[in-house]
Amino acid sequence: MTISVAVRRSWTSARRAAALGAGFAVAVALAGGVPQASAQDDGGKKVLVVGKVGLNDFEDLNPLDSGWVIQGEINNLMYEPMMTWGQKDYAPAPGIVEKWEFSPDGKTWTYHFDPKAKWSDGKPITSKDAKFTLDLIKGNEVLAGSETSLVDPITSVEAPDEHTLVVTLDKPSGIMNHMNNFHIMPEHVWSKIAKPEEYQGEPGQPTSGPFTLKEFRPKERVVLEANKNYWRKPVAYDELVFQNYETAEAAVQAMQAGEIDFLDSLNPEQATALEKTKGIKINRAPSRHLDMLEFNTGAQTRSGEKLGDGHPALEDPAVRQAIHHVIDKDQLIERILDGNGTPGVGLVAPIFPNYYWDPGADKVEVSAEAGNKLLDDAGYTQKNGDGIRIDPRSKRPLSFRLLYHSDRPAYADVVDFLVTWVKELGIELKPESKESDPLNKDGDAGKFDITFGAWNFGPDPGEDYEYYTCDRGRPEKAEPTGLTMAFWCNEDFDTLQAAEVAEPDVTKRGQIVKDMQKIEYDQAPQIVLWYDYALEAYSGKWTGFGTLPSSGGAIARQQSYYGYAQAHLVGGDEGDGGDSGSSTGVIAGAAVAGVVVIGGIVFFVQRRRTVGERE
Amino acid sequence: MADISRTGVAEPSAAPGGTPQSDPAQAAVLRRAYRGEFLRFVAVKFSGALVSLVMVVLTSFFIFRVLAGDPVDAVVGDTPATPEQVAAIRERLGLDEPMGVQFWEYLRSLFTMDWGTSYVSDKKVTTLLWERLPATVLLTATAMILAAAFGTWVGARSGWRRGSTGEKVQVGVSLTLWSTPTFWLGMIAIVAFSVKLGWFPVNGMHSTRGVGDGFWDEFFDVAHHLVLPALTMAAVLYAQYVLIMRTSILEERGNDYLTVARAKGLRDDHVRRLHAVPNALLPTITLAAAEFGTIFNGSVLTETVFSWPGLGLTFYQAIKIPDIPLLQLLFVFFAGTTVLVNFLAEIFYRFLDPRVRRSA
Repeated sequence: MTISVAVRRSWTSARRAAALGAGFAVAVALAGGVPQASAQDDGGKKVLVVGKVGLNDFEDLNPLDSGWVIQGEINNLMYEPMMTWGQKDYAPAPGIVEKWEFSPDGKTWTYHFDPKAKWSDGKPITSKDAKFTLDLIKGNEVLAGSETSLVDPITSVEAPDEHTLVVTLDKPSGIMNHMNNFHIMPEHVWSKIAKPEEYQGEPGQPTSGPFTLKEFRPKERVVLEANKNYWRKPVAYDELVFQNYETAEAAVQAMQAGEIDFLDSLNPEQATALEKTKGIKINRAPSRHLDMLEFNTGAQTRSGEKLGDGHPALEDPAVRQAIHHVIDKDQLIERILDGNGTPGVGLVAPIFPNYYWDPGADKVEVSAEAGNKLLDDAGYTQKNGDGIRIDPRSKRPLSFRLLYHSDRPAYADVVDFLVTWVKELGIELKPESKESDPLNKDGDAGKFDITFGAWNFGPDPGEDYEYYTCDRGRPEKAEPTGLTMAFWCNEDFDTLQAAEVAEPDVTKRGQIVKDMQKIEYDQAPQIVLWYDYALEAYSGKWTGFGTLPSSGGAIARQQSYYGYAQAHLVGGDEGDGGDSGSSTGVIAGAAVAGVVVIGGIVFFVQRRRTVGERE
Repeated sequence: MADISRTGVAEPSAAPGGTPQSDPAQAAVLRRAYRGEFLRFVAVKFSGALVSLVMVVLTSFFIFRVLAGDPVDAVVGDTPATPEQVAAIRERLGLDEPMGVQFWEYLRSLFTMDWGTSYVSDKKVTTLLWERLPATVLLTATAMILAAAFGTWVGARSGWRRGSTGEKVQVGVSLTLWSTPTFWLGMIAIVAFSVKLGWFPVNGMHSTRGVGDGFWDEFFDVAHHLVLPALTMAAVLYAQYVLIMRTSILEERGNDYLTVARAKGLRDDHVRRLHAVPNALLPTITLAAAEFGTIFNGSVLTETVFSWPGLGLTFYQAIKIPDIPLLQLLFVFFAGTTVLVNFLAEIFYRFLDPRVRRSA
């Protein structure tokens, strides 16, 4: 009796466990199988899926107020600017406006609209739309805050006919050559929006660019649909999806799993890992992003009131330049970036040929001997018992705090090199690690000696170089400011900055910007370590991504639409990838599992029915 | 069970003058006594819940104002702002007001039920909450049902066969899962089942490439995405049910009524399922009731690892800014629903288990 109960119990349990297991398996298989098959056939749509870390930073897609880079990237795909950045060399190029000219005094600008330009709803894009938008921004405090450099000098905007716009300024402005990639809105729609500053981004609104907005789930995904009425060459696929990922690691995994087709902002390790994954290709290209060391060059107000607690010796360019002499940028790039970068010079990256300054023979030589000579010549000859030089004016040893971001691993590696290198100069560095937020707050308050910084140089030098003017470097009040990089002030530099902002001629402006870089390079308020490469992964099913510049640049984070708009599936016009074989396999697996579970259920029910007989 | 009938303030057999069933007046007295005692019980529990809620409401104002980070940075974006722009944003968000004024505004918002607008969008935070709540309920409810059902079943079998290999394995597995950090388990699950095997999506709630427009397309798509996060969350919760049910069954195993049931010739399996398990279920129900209170809270870790667009992920995203109005509402909602559900569970439990009622 005992034995037979035990055997029966064991037998019953095994059956029941099998039935439950089969039930779970089929649930999983069914849940897993159907969407796989659905995603693959999906009406034959061609869909490019882009993974984004940072899509959750914003909850609106207002084309007139894009504070975030990714926000701007998406809006650039929907709205053609009046003038855009030329794909060849970032020079201003026709957008909705096909040509433009300025008066000899640089105060009157006339723009001629492309008669072919039309909104996605078929209505023509006219100069009246541009006048409406410029007037709207100028009269709206919130929107004007994002475009001060563009709208502040404007005194009047006229549209004498549908294809001509005349803008008058109170002072000449080089920005009018590209109007900051400015987007114009359709008057026939936006004139009815009561509070344009609160516009969230609504699907179906007419756009002027290669895409329209199809779906927007804030913090989750953005779906753009190809604009079939695009007046230039329409894109070669149907939808462009931006999918949010909380972390870069999650996005890399999604790329490996084939859920996304494109991913940018990779670090070298991630790029290497993805490169080893079958079917994934990597774009390693020069970018406009740089990392640098910032010096506290003597934070103080315009009236001379001291700000923060910077070391007085760093006010001396000789000390800063001596440190520059021991930084081996090639070695940093090789060891830390795995070769993915080029040595830094000024704020302007080499991908901007019209503005980039090549130091040539003036390049700072990597030489501790040259650095020591600079310090000796400048009077830093005394040393304390630890071999650290003494500042002859403040009598303090040249011992500097070096703030670095604890959440940026590359900086910690650089710190190790720097501490060793500057020791050869008789200078001591004391590294202090902090999270970005408190570190930035210290930086704004002038409570640092040396710190790290990063920058994405914009195609227009005007706004970037404002950060190095005396107006910003010497704030009016003794309060923290995030509008300066090094609390630097140089009158020669300021004179050139005023000239370049006002210069309407692109070539002349380029020369002035190069002269400014030379001053900065000599005075060293900052040392640009490198221009790192953009590391981007894309599915081998896609090709033709438009880089900026076209000779080899980044695909993502452009201030234009070339990157995604020029992409197409390998081989032309076949539908969205995915092999039907695996789809069929999943469906077959689900079917088999279904048979198993139904069998299990039948068996189980039968057992229940006959339990009395067996008792 | 026999002990229970001899305890309690209103034990019928303790009353003089015969059995209560035979005396309607006595029965009415007893009913009144029960009712009075029940109302006292509810009042005490309700006051406790109310005090907790008041503490939650007060805490939620202060706790998020000591967080690092400046909400203005999130509003400004990647573009640095001028001091004038920063000042204007601070004024718009009400951050330029003294703390006392902000606190007063906060208290006022409690009474008007206007919790304010998110710093990074122009949406009411209550709208954001209702938008994200269904995803959280779907995930946590699925995980809890899976964990409770499977954990109870496994726990009962393990306790019934004490000393068997199966029991040892189950206890070991349960303890291991209980000790495993959820985020780690989630990441391992993603690597194994999504990246390597390709069975499930890496994260999210919807396919990146979209599915058809039909209800069932959407249903299966969400179900497919639900499997990994729900199993990850359930795996950790499951261990509690296994261990509690196992302990409970162990206590029941030696009782006389089970020997009687066996003596009547019932199969061992029936004795366990129909006699032992129902009596051993009460601790499990207590646990389930307590966890039900957290069903609206989601799981910050699980939702973050799997980018599941629920309240937990919303909380994580808001805390990085920090989006104070949204955090305040979520905190009060999380804590408030937990307090409320626990309060209801205590009352429910009183009806379910006479021992609680009579020992109160």
